[in-house]
Amino acid sequence: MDMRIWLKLAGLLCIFLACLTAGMELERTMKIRWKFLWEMHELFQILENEMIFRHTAVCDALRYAANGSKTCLQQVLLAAAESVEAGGGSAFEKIWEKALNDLVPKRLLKENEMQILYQAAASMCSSDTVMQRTLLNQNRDRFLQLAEEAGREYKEKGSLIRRLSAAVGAFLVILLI
Amino acid sequence: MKSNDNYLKLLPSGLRTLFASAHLNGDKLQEIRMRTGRTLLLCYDGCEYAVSGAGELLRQPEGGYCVSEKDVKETLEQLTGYSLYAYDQEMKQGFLTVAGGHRVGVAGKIVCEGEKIQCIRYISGLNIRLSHQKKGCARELLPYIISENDVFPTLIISPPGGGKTTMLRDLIRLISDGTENFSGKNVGVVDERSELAGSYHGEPQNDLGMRTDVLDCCPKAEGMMMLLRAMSPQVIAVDELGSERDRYAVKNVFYCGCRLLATAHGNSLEDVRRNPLLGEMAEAGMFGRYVLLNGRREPGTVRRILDGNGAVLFGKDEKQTACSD
Repeated sequence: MDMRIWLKLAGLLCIFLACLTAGMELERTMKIRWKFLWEMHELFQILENEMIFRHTAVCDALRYAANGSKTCLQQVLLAAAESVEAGGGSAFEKIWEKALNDLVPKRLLKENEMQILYQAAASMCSSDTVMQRTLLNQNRDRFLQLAEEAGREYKEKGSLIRRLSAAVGAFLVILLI
Repeated sequence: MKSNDNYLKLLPSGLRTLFASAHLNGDKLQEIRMRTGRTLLLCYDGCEYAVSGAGELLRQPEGGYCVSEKDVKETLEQLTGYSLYAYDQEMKQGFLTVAGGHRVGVAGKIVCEGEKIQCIRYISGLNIRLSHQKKGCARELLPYIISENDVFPTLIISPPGGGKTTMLRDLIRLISDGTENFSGKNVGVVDERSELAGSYHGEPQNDLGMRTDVLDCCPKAEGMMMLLRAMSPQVIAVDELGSERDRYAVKNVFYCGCRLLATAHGNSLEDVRRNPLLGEMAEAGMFGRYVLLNGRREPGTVRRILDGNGAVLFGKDEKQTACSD
């Protein structure tokens, strides 16, 4: 066969694969977002157990929670624990915000989810222990709700996006042929 | 002028900058008092000062740095390692001991359930009392306290802030380690408010000597009995003796042949005798020595040493009648 046909076929294959990969990447981001929010929900459960019932220091509780994480939340928790231990004098809110900004990929979460994440700092460190317990419970429920929504979204849209991307790829290939 | 600025680590970044610009000598800084909406006050070298926003020390509170709610919150976060919950039990007693053995008193809204304190909320005041270990401050006192390798039961008396805990701490260290003429003793310390050992996570931050066992955050009465049963101490040391709850344990200490080192609030032996427990003990001749300190003006210095009968062994004799009558 002519070299040009080979090149054309290779180009078409690339276009098809690119569409497929983009779709899979979108689906993967949705899955990570779901897992991240689910781990946040679990984090508050762990923090409540460790801090309230076992009186563990927040840095140790964050490290303990990081052990069970498989998303970028692990890095966030470890970075926050390190900064807390370093005792630089910053407010906890700032430490938490910095860890989130540095280590959570920009497009992983929606704006309102990021805002809830920033506000969650108040429940991890508070000078009012009664309020802290309430906030931990509230955040746990809030993140459960967010995780359930993200899970639903992933299940509903994930496979659709994958199929759609394959269809778009195929359409482009046909169009170009 | 600046030396020992370890205390800065206790403060949040904002206040850290303020204190750093004041160039304070950490060894002379005794207390930092923070009250929301009020002027920040320091007890520095025996005097009270305010600090201006530019870091100048002021004798009058006017023009001094005003403490905000945020300052109190952030200081508390810094002191507790962002983990107030870890200090829950201590907080119920109105204080917490932080790394370095420094004690922080807290004021706020007390939440009670029945007669029991549940927690403190809306914390609005902090009193950071910096722990200063003055090694050797009790060395001159020691010859009056010991006799033929034995220790006299001793009561150290001073008003609050007079340095009696510092004095007792050094006395414990000297008795525990021993000196050239005095072999060290096993000392048991019941550190109810973590002031003597300044334990942080169970580890004493202050040097109390090589033969000293510490029961941290333990009620005095229970602690003394626990030490007697388990640790066979030759000397038991406690801070701020005088409550009725201690009566049974104190008697046990005496009748078990243990020597007691204790402190009490007061200006004179007369003050001590007004306390039901201490008065009874003094009447029964349970203490062999009374050490009266100079008080706030010269914290940690001895004014007088009296024997068990009130006779002056050291210091001016002028108030002897007032002390021994």
